[in-house]
This record gives sequence, structure tokens and C-alpha cells, in this order.
Amino acid sequence: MTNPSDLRGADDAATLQIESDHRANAVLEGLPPSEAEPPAGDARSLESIGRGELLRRRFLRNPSAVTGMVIVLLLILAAIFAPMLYQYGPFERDLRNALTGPTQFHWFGVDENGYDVFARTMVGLRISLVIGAGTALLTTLLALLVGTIAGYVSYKGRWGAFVDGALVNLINLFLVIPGLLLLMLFSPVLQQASWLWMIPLLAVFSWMLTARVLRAMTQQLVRTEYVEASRFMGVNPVVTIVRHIIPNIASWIIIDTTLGVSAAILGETGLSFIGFGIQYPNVSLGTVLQGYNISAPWTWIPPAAVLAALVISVNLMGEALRDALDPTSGSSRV
Amino acid sequence: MSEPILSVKDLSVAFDTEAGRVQAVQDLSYQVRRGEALAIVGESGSGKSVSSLAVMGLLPKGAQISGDIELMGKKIFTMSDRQLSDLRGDTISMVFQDPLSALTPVYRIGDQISEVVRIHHPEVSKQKASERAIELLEAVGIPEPRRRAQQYPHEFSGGMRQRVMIAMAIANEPELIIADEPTTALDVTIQAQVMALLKSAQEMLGAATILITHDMGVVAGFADRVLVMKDSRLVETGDVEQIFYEPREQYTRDLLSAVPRIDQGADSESRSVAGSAMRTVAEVATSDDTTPREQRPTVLEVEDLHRVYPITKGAVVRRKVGEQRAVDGISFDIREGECMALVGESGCGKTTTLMEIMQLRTPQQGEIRIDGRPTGGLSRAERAKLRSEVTLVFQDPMASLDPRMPIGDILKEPMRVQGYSAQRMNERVEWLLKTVELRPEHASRYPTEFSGGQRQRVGVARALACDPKLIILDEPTSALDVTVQAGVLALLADLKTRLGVSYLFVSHDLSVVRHISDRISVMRKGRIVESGPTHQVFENPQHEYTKELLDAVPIPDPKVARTRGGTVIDAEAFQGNSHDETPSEQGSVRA
Repeated sequence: MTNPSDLRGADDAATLQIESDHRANAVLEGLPPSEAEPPAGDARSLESIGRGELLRRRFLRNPSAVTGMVIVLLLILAAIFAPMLYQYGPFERDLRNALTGPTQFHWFGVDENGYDVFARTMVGLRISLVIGAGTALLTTLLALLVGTIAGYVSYKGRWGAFVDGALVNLINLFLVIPGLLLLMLFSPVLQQASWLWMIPLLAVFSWMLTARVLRAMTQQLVRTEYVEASRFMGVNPVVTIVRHIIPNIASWIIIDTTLGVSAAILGETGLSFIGFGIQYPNVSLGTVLQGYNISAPWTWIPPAAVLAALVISVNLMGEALRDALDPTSGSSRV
Repeated sequence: MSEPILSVKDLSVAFDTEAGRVQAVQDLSYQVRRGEALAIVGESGSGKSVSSLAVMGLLPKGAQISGDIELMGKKIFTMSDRQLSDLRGDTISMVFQDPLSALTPVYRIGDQISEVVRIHHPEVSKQKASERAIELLEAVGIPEPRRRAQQYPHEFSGGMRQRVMIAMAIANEPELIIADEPTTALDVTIQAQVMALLKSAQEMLGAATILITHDMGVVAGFADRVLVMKDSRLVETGDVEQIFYEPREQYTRDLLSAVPRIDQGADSESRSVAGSAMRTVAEVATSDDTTPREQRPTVLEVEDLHRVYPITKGAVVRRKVGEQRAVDGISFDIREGECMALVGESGCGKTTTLMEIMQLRTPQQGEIRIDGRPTGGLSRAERAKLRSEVTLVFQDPMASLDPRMPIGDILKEPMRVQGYSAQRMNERVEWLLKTVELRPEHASRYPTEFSGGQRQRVGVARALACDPKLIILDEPTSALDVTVQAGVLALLADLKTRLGVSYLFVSHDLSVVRHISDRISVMRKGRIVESGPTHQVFENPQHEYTKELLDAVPIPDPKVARTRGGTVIDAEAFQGNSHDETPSEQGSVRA
């Protein structure tokens, strides 16, 4: 059965080609068993590039992957260090310079309320990054839990089908709930406790499609012979899921999580922009954008550019990762 | 002799990969003349398929090609893709390995065949093309061609689909037919029919044919000349008799000696060297075990086993409209240290029987006893314990090992379930790997680093992990090359005598079980039609179906193979003299 994430491409075919199995014949010619099938250790070291190494090479061969990675790293570094080193804080007002363009003191200029745009953008980037990464991880975790369980039990008799049906209906229920309205309802309330509430709130409304895909992938894997084999060996279902199913869909999960980061960032900034997201005393890229003044481009171009750079570079990375993991994509060509 | 249709000169093909440049074909030269059948034989990865793709001009973009291919005086490599497209399907045609994926599932069979006709002869009307499709279907022996032409590929069996592929291949009377492992995906009986059909189609058209295969048995009855390839190079080429009777190269000899033969026990006077290695397997398998069968304890007992699947209809209210009797009252028993073979075609209920045994639960009807204990009344703990005593080796070694686990962990998995200590597991992994003739230091490697045969050895090692009493082998060698198959069979025979395990060996090929099994049960449509000691079944088959199965096994001896008949193409129908009530105009589509 085709394994959704099996990395057998031209490279493994090439390995097999070199390592064809004619030596088994030697068994019949009466050689002692220990010498019968020489593993060709030396010749092999050339071909047997580890999976990780292979992935790294394919990933780095893609120029957009490298671009994306460099930009993301720079943005992360900026988000960590810039607010520490910069002389202004996000809520320090400099009303005398209100609505002035970029200067050597206010790098990105000052908005009409006297806030420093650079300071706010960097702090906002920090929060947006944390929310993006946190939401993506939590989304994946939720999806993994629901998806693999539903997929695994769906073949296990009457009760399995029932549980699977219940979980699928749960997914469908969440899909029809107007998530945005509920977010607008709950977000301001929970914001009063902590801005970190944003993470579970966004995650609860974005795990469904991933869960559906994971369910389908699990269903496919449950029918493979190695999962069947573990069942016939009496391996516990939970162990089977953790040991056989999750590692085999891991590559897809990684890609989805990466792409989920940018989706979560966009979701959060969108909410913040319309005033239902991150609120005082915190600031996110969305809230910075909220204070735009159309006649003063420096109030909105820098945060918008940072947001766009972040989302695009994360997507570039995710797509390059997908290509690297997909043996049929062009990245196997040297 | 006539002009060569195809001549290949110094063909080399290479691919660039992560591991550097890989030579797929090196300095290959051959010629095929009109009406000649050439067989290119080699194991997986020997470059035989790549060389034929080069002839079709179908190599992937990254391939580095040198040399020359001339088809009827025209150089293939100088032609554009468009020019090549005119040749493909008209002058050259191809029959692919997997008939299940070679037909488009959303088009009717008749339309797919008439498409081939119309692409190269656009002047033919739709009406005539579909008439032609029906004639072709009739020619390849498909019953009720008029009705069948209206059906979709999923309504055809594997053998029928391969017939359709042959019909498409001969539709435009090509000069060259390339058949790339046309029967490896098929059962033995179907294989025999398809090969006979292909042979007679080739003879009727007088076309040159290239048969690509790894199975020397198929070659004997088909080819005029044989070309043996190994590791991208030509090893030997010669007439079929010369290759089979006096092979010059050691590799050819190895390849031949690994072919299992059904006609071997009776010390035939065949001059073919084929099958010599399998004789040693047979010797190992029937060793000095003198305890009579009746006195040995029974390991597995299956009594009157039934498994019926209801066929239901209706989405909202399910009602039963019929039933599929997958297993219909079979009984057999396996004694200690014995190998019983369960032989039958796909769909006869072999796999269902296995699954019923492996479930370790109460069957629908009948009883399964392991070591005298019925599986129905087991507690959860007892069932878990029993999992270590009855183990399974799967058919496809590529699919049965988790690609994300090093083989050491794969081998430890059953032991972990049985609660072995870490130290004992490590010792056992080492022992297991040695037992299946792999190196203990391989424990940290991943399955993808091993070849098919080595992976199947890992599969066997996993089945052996907890000292089982019974190993169920589900066509363990059908996904392997012939030479590798011989090695795995030798290993299994050796383990049986050394460790005293019992096997239930399921196969569709009688020749494979010939050398390893003590007893054979032939299964058909959910019932066992014949069962008895191996030599008895082979020498004196009682049931009609057993005889049919025996007849279908290819014999790797050109002289013997040629004397056997088979389905022959209906040349009348091909010419257009259809037996159908509405005969179409003769030769209407031939330009």
C-alpha cells in the first residue's frame, strides 16, 4: 500500500539497484551462512544517506527554502532582541514628535498617539510569533488526538465504527460553528485573564480539517501490513498508534504545523485588527496596524511588511519542506 | 534472415541521484528481427525495464543517454516527442506489468481500445472503431465481446485486463511489441493463458517481440533468443536452447538453477539446467525426521471452518441480497515440524482462512484449535500468550516492515509484548539476525536499506522472535525475484529442520511449494478439493483443478514448454470475420 509519507524515490531505487539480491544464490551454492549475504557495508556507506541527511539536502537545494528560513530566523532574532535594546517601549509616548516620519531616534517613525512604531512592531512581532507557534502546536495536538483515534478505531467492529462516527460528527459540528463570531465573543473576556488565552481559543476553531486528513491517513495506515503485523503480535493499540502510525505520518504533520503557524498569525492579527484580539497592555502586529493613518505611510507599512515577510517566509519553508518530503516532487533531481 | 526491426547499439543510460551517478544500462547492444521473440531476463534493478523505456522514448528527463537506437532505419534519439508519439501504439506497442493500473478506470473498455485505433487512424469513424474494438476483444478470447466492451475496467479480472492490454497492443498491427513483465502480477493459471495468447498474437502478426521478465520459466516457452542482464550490463545472449541447455556464464546458471520446477521429482531427462539449486532445498526440507506423522502432536487443527460475507444493498435500509462464501467448510490439521501448503488462485479463500486463524477468535462456524485448545474460549491473557506461538510472515516485505523503525526494534516488538527483559531481547535479536543469515550489526539499520530478499528475511526473523510453534507464510516469495525466492525458500526449509517449527505455507504457485512442503491442500472457491502428501499430489493428481494448476506452471525447458498448448488468438476475429451477428467490413481500419 502506498504510504503517504514513504520516502522511496529515485534514490532508493538507485540504492536497490546497486544492492540487488543475487547474492542469495550463494546460499544455495553451499557457502557458510555468515558469508552468504555480505551486507556490502563499505560500498553501502556511500549510498545509504540517512533520512535526515537526505531531507536536509533536498530542503537546502531549494532556494526559496533558504530564503524563507533566513527571513524567519532574522525575524525571530529581531523579536527577541530588538525590544531589549531599543530605547523606546511600546507604550512610551513621545507626543512632541507625533506623526513624524522615520528618524535616527524613531526608526520607523511615530504615530499620531506618539507611540514609536518600531518598538510596537517588534513587541507585536514577539506576541504574534508566540501565538502563531503555540496555536499551531496545540491545533496539531488536538487534530492528532481526534484524527488518529477516529482513524484507528474505524475498522474495529461495531463499537469502533460508532466511536469513529461520533468523532467525525464532532469534527463536522465544529466545522459548522461560526468560529469568528464565537472568537469575537470570548476573546475580550478571556483577554482580561491573560493574552495567552488567545492560543487555545484560536486552536479550538482550527483543528478540524487537519483532524480529518489525519483520520484518513490513519485509516490508510491501519490497513498496511506492518500495522496488521503488530496487531497479530498482540501489541497494545495505543502503542501501535504512537510507534507505528504517528511516525509514519510525522512528515505531513510537520508540514501542516509549519503552515499552521502562518495561518494562526493571520487569524490573530485579523482579530486584533478589528479589536477583538490582543488588547492593552499588550500589543500584536494586528493592534499596531489598527493605529494606521493612511496619510502617514510609516504608521502602517512597517508592521504590514513585517507581517507579510513573516507569513510568506513561513509558507516558503513549509512548501519547501513538503517538496523535500515528497519523493515525486522535482527536488529529487540533482 | 530478414532486416532487423530494432537495433540497439552501445546504449547507456545513467541517472544522477543523491548518491552520485547511477548507471542503469551500460553498453547494451542487440537486434530484433521481424517475427522474432527476444526475452530480456534479469533481476530487479538490472536495467531491463530502463532499456525498453529507452526504445519507446519514454525515459524521464534527467536521464543521460548515449548510444543509438534504430527502429526500422529511423533513429529514435533524433526524433521529437511528437514524432515518437506517432510511433508509439502504432509501430511499437507496449504491454505493461500491472494490468490493474494500466487501464483508465473511468472509460469503457471498448472506448479505450477504439481510442488507440482512432489516434493513429483519425479517418476511421467512431462507429467503425468501436466495431474494431469488439473484434479485437473477441480475438483475445474475451467472451461476449459486445457486452464486455460496454463495461468498465473494474468489472474485469486481472487476467482479462491483461488480455485487453494485449488487444490494445495489437490493434494497429505493430512491428514491435514490448511486454514488460506482463504476467508477474497474475496467478499461475492466468499467466499461462496470457503468455500463450501473447505468443500466438505475435506469431499471427509476425511482429518482433521483446519480453522483459525475471522469470526464466516464462521465457522457455516464448522466446527464440534470450538476453541476460545483470547490474546494468549484458551478461550473455544466445538462442533459447543454448541458454537453457549450455549456459556459458555462471550468472545465467545461477538464474536458471533458482527456478522452481514441478517436473523435477520424477528425475526427468530434461537437458535444461534449470532448477538444480531447488533440488538441494528439497533435500533439506525432507530430512531425517523419522517419527511417523500420526505420532507427532497436532499444532493446528481447523475443523469445518466457514466464513460467509453477506452482500448487502441499500444505503438507508440494509438488506441482504446474497452471500459470499469465502471459506466454505474446510478442515485440515498440521502436525509438529510439518509444512502444509495451501494452494489456490487469488480469491479462493486462502487469505480469509489465514485471517480467521490469526484472529484467534471464535469463527462463524466450525472450530480452530491450536495445540488442542479451541480459540473461541480463550481469555485475553491466553490470547496474548498465544500470539507468540502462531506468527505470520506477510507477502510483501516492502509493506510489512515499518519504514520508520530500525530492524532491531522491529524484531523486539513481539518480544516486548511478551515481556522479555532488555538483555534477553538484545541477545535474541543477535541470534535471530544470524539465524536468517543477516549480520547482527544491521540491527540499527532501517528497512529501506535492505533489498527485498533481505527484508523478507527480517520478516521471517520477526516471526521467529518468540519461539513460535507455527508460522503462517502468506505467499512469502511471490513478491521476490526468482533467485531471491530460492534463497528464502532454502532458509525456510533449513529453519524447519533446525528448529522444528511447523509451517502453513500459502501460495498460488504449485512449483514453489513443491520443494518445501510435506503435504498439500488445493483450495478452490472456499473448499479444499484435494489434499495429500506432496509427492502424491504431484505425481498423481486426482482432481481436475489440481491438474489444471499443474499444467499452468511454466516449465523451464524450451523443448518441453513448446509442446504445451494454450489459448490461441482468434485470428479470424482479428481479421474482421467476426462470429458476431453484425459482421463489420473487412479490413476497414487498416490503412
